[in-house]
Amino acid sequence: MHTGLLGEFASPEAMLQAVRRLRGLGYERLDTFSPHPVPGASRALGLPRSRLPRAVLVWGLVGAASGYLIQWWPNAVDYPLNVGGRPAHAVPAFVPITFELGILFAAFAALVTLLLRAGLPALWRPVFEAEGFERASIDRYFVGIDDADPRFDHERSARDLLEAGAARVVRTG
Amino acid sequence: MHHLPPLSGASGLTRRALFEWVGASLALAGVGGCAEPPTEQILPYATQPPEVTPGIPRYYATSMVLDGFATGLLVESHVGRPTKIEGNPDHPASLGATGAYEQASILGLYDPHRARALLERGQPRAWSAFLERYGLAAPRSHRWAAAGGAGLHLLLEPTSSPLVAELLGRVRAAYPRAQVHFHAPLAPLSPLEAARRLLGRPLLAQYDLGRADVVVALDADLLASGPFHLRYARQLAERRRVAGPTDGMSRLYVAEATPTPTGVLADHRVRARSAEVHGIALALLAAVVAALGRDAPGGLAAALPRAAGPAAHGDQVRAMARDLTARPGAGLVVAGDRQPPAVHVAAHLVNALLGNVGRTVWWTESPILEAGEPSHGLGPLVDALRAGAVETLVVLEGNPSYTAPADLELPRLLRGVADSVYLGLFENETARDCRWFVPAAHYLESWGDARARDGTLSPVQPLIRPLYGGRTVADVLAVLAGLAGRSTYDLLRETHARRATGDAAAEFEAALREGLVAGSAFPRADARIDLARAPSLLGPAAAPAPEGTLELDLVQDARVYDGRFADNPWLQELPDPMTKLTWDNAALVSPRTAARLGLANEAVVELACRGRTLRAPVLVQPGQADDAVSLALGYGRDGAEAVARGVGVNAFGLFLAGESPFFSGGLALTPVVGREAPPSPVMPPARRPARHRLAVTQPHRSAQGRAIVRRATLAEYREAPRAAPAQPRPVQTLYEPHRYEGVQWGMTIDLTVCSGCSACVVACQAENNVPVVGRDGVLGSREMHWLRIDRYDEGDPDSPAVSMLPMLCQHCERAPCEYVCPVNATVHSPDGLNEQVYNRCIGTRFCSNNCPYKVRRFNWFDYNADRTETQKMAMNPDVTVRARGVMEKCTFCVQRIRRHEIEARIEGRPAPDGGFTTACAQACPTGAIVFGRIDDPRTDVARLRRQPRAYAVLEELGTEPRVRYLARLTNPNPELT
Amino acid sequence: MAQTAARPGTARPEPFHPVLVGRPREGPITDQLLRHLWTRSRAWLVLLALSGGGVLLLLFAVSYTVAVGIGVWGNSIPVAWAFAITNFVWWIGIGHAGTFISAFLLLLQQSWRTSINRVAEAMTLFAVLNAALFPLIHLGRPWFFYWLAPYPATMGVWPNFKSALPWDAAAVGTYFTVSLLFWYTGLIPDLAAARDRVPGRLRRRLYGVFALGWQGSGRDWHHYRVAYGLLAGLATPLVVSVHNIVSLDFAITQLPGWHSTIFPPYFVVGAIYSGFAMVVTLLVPIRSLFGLQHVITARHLDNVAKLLLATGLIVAYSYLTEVFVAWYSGNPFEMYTFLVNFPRGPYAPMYWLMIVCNVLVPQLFWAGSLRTNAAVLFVASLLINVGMWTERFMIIVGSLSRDFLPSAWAVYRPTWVDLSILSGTLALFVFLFVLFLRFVPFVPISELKELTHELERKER
Repeated sequence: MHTGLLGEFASPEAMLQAVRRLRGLGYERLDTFSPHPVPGASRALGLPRSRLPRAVLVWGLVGAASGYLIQWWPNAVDYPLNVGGRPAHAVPAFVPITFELGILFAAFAALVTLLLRAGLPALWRPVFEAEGFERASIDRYFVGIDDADPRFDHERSARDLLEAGAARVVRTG
Repeated sequence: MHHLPPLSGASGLTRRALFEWVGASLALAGVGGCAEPPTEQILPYATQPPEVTPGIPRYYATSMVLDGFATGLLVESHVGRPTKIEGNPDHPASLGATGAYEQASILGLYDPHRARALLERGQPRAWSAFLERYGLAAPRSHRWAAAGGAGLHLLLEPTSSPLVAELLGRVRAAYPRAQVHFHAPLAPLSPLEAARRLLGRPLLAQYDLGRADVVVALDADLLASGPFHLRYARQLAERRRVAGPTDGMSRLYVAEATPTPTGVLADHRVRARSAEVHGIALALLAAVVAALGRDAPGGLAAALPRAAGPAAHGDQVRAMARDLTARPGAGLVVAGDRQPPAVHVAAHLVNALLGNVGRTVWWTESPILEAGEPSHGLGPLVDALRAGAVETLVVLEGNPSYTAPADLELPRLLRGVADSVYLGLFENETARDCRWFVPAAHYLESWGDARARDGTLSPVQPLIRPLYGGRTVADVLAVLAGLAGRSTYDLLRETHARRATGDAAAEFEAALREGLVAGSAFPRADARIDLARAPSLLGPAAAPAPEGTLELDLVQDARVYDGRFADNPWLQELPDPMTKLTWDNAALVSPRTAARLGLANEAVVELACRGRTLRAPVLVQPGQADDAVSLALGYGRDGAEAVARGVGVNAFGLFLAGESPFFSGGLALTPVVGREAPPSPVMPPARRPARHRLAVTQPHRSAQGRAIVRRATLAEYREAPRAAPAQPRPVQTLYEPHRYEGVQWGMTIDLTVCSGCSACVVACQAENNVPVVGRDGVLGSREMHWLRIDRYDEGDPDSPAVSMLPMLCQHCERAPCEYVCPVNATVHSPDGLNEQVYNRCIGTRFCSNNCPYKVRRFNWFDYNADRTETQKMAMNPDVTVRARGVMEKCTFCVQRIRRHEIEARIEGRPAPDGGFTTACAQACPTGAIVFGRIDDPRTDVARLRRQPRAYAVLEELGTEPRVRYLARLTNPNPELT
Repeated sequence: MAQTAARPGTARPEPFHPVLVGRPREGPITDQLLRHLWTRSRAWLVLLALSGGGVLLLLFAVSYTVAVGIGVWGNSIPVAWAFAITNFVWWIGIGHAGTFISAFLLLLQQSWRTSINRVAEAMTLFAVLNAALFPLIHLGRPWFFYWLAPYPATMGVWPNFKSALPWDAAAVGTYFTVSLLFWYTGLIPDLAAARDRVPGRLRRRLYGVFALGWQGSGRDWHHYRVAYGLLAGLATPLVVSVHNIVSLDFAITQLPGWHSTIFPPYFVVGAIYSGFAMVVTLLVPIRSLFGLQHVITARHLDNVAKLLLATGLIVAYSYLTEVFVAWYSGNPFEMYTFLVNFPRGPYAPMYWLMIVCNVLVPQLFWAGSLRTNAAVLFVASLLINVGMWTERFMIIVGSLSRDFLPSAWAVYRPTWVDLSILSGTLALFVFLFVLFLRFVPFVPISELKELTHELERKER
């Protein structure tokens, strides 16, 4: 969410109810802010299933492949040596590094994709300007309506939020 | 070496100096190797002569002399630096082999502790000053000059050098009343004395072990000590090397107190105190006489029962006698030099009675000057000294202050001499007691000559100019003889010219080229044994010592000889062939004696004998005779030799003059308590027995029942040739085994003839620039030897069956060390070598962990950091000097292989088998080690690998080693098994 | 806690020991768990100074080793590996519990993991850091360590991937990186909380930077949970693979005592065993120092103790199997190592100490009262740490000192440098941990809040 209105709630339950109600009113660009993940928030906001796992899978495979190649090419192709009479292309011996690099790439993929999706790092966000928002990471729960929302209208949306049970409504941006 | 001080810059090797040496080498390289004294032909290296190519070593023949006997050598020289010593195949004392002393002498040449300056009372003097005083102006400065030499005494080591004889003659001619004395603590005197009594002349017995079916060695270490040990070892090996079940072996009986390499190869080893040997000899003689029955001369038969005391070890002796009498003319009885004359007499009599004389044993003149005459021995000199009749004493080499019998108190007497001169390599104990000190030249820096034990005349020619301006015995004698102007080289040529039959120059040149004067061996002397006089010479056998009384045995050390090699780090770190002890000597006791006296290894004891005491650590030695305590001579030096100082205890403190100075009964042994022991929190130091840690390289002697060394008797082997080694099992593998094509190298080691003499260990060290780690290093089990000799004992711990197992990199075709190296620093070459790539190694030491043979060596420190300039000269330029933190190991002397291949390639042919071998194989006196191509079935090594005796150590691991061992065969007397 | 346990109207009777005592309000609990970020304490300074001294000792000993050579250690031929590799394997093992707790238990949805997982993860990171030090300094030529990496070198040579050491490098490297990512991912929301809570501009800025601007929006949480779960899913097989591979350093050789197919599982279990021991060693003091008995409850102690007992039993079983297989194989070398060398050889005292610490001590935890007794647990955990170190020492030094050829046998004696490095590495671990406790939220706050709400929902 960029700029718009924030409604403050005391509990995650209240917040979720508000979201459902607002969506019932036809709001589309809603968002919630909470100190911890609130079960059901995703469904309430109607978010699609995260595609993050696919990225992780793809990068994991890329890592594994490169892991095997970086062993096979130097040892078996570029400079094969008679090492203890063992074959130059020693498949079982190449397994561990293949596996490790697969995991490494996948793990990086997971974090990097997360940061991209969450638009991090971004040390300043408009919502931070909203008075009292610092408690969003401690013990307060906010519902936000983006002013890009087709149904957004300052007075009405504020009223809707209060009717949805918001203790107070603040403007951001 | 860490603790060697660096050379002073002045005497360091400068570029100019190097060029001078190079020049010297060019001179040597000239016609006849050494047509002129090197100093007279300094050439700038710029104009490169055709015969010297940098990188291609040249070999020169010379001889090393020990107590007067020469051993012929070939010395490898790299652009003027001698770097490696090999045996001269044509020389009777070498037959191509070398011992540890010869191998290590190259390091002795470059020893940074060698004396450099001519001194008078510690003050530097010029050679001219010495010349002035003892040469030209002697008449004015010395009373003896006027008195025909009365008051002039010379003390030399025994010598066989015609040149020295010539010069002594001239000195005597000038000063008829001058007296000459010869002394060397280990010089064999009693054999000559025995011969003088028995034959009327001090003749020297010569042996041929190659023609003997039965050899009896009475306290005689034929294979590892004495001037001809290399020859005897080869001869015996040839009679015991078994190619197939049909071959025979000679049989070797040994009676000795402390185990020796000869005892290791013995089929029957009688553990006897040295004093018992006399009784054994007489009993043997008696048994032989009895066996001969009426053929035996009557007088002898009558005399013997008196002479022969109660025969200890009766069964063995009777068996020996039967064995000997069964093979008349093909037996040989040898008495050891340390035994009194009577024992030698008995041995000679047995040989004579059995008709061995003329076949396996005969007599020649001794090559030693004035052999058997009173001038040998210190008695007359000491009398003169005590009488104050010595005005000038000239000591030429040796180290009498250290090696003289303690009761003569020679050091005190020497200090009493106003005018004394000492010529020596080191400012040692004797140098301290003398007024003048003249630095001696190393034999590799000297012109000279000497005779081998059989009389073969062997030239000594220098490989390099004296590093520290040292002088030879001949130089000093020339001064006294008033020949100061003449160069030793000229004098040498003259003495040879006098003997020349044809073109003197050509013969001299040929002698230098070949390293010996062909056909100069002494002819056999016809000596008659007067059997009538014999019985009186046998003496009464010593009554067996009462139970529990101890015998002291002073023995020659396999590493420092009589102490003269004590400053040689290679020898100090060479594990004793028997005890595996380094950097020390110790009082050896048998397990039973140790148990009786409650002694353990490393316990310090006080030895009290003949009114003198000495402290030494105990080392329990399986195979040692009970109640006999052996202590090696040559340690506890306190001269200027930094390496030798303080190593071990000085056994000469118990060495007394007399008929048998080397052993005596009545030894008292008491454990020392306290002092040496470190204070401990739990116990007050005073109550703890003193300990001295001994750096033993192999504490574990039992094979734990593992089939590491495989042994069999000849009989068993004949029944089932393969019985000795188990059938190699097929190695299971998932993968296609690597296919080797083309030239393939391999090695076999015949355990039947390996006596563990350890010459190969030093040879390897010299060839491959193997560093020395010092006592602490050995205590931390960090020895760097690429080749070690493992000793395994089987059976009765008191007299175990000992086997020697030379252990080096096995160059496994499926090497465990290779696949664990993360950086490919150890890989396999196409010709089957396990290669160690030093500059790629990062030192994970994983390879060593996975080496079942533990033959890999790690550079824990920078072992080459403190090498002095001269020590660097000893390095083999063909072998990398390893850096700190890298692994190293045996390379099969790859530098030799590659040079051989390059030479072959230049001649456009494939590298043939032979024409070269590894350093260890080349040094080995018994030829136990054979190296060559295994891909060609006709080569020696290939044939040996096919022998049914051949096996691989730990073959069950499937490492497929390129080194194969031939099972150890012994030929025991069926009567005794 | 009894009344909380017997709280009326609970849907389902809570287990005897609750994972959370009471239902802390979000504000206060946040303050309690963040306060240490801005409150100074003398005890902390003292601890830092002490461990700092140890770190200096480590620095000195290591520099001395690198300057003079590995020879300053007691290592020899045959014992070419000794303290360094022992420490390496020991630390890596300890590292395992962290990931195990945070990843494996997360997948199993063990709610009790919540309040201890960050401490455990931090422990993992610091342990692996210590471990990674040793393969480096034990090299004869440490300055060439990078030759293990495949790069186009001037020599034209490549690493040998048949050796277990490159596997090690990859495994340990990956393990550290992934643990770090996992740890940091979990930290982000708490860093955000710290950003919004700590007094002082500088601190806010600092934590703000590390929080990356986390705003806790529903969409972010949406991906966050998936990513966190995936990381856990990746870390779990990873943690198993790492000690498998470490064990291969030994198992791929021929050495009796090393050459064993049981090693991979045996090492992993041993690792988790030692890891949990170290977790206890750390948690018990933290718990009382910061008065967190209601967050790190008897339930946690109880569960960890049970895990110690379980893994301890498996370790004991592994010892037994080794001895049995050695005897059953009839291989003289194996038999000597396990039937003679270990129990009766030069290191027999170490061996029996290992048996006592690793096999007997955990048997205490059959008794429930001892499982929740912090003091007993603490002492036991220390003993197990010692026991696991001696186990690694026996495997490495014990086996090496007596292998195939008796002629090569030798006893290893550590030098003062070996001992300094051992104590120094312990100090470094404490040092890092002390810093962690001062500057990082060491109990996952947001997860705790989530847990609180979850429990409340259950109770309703």
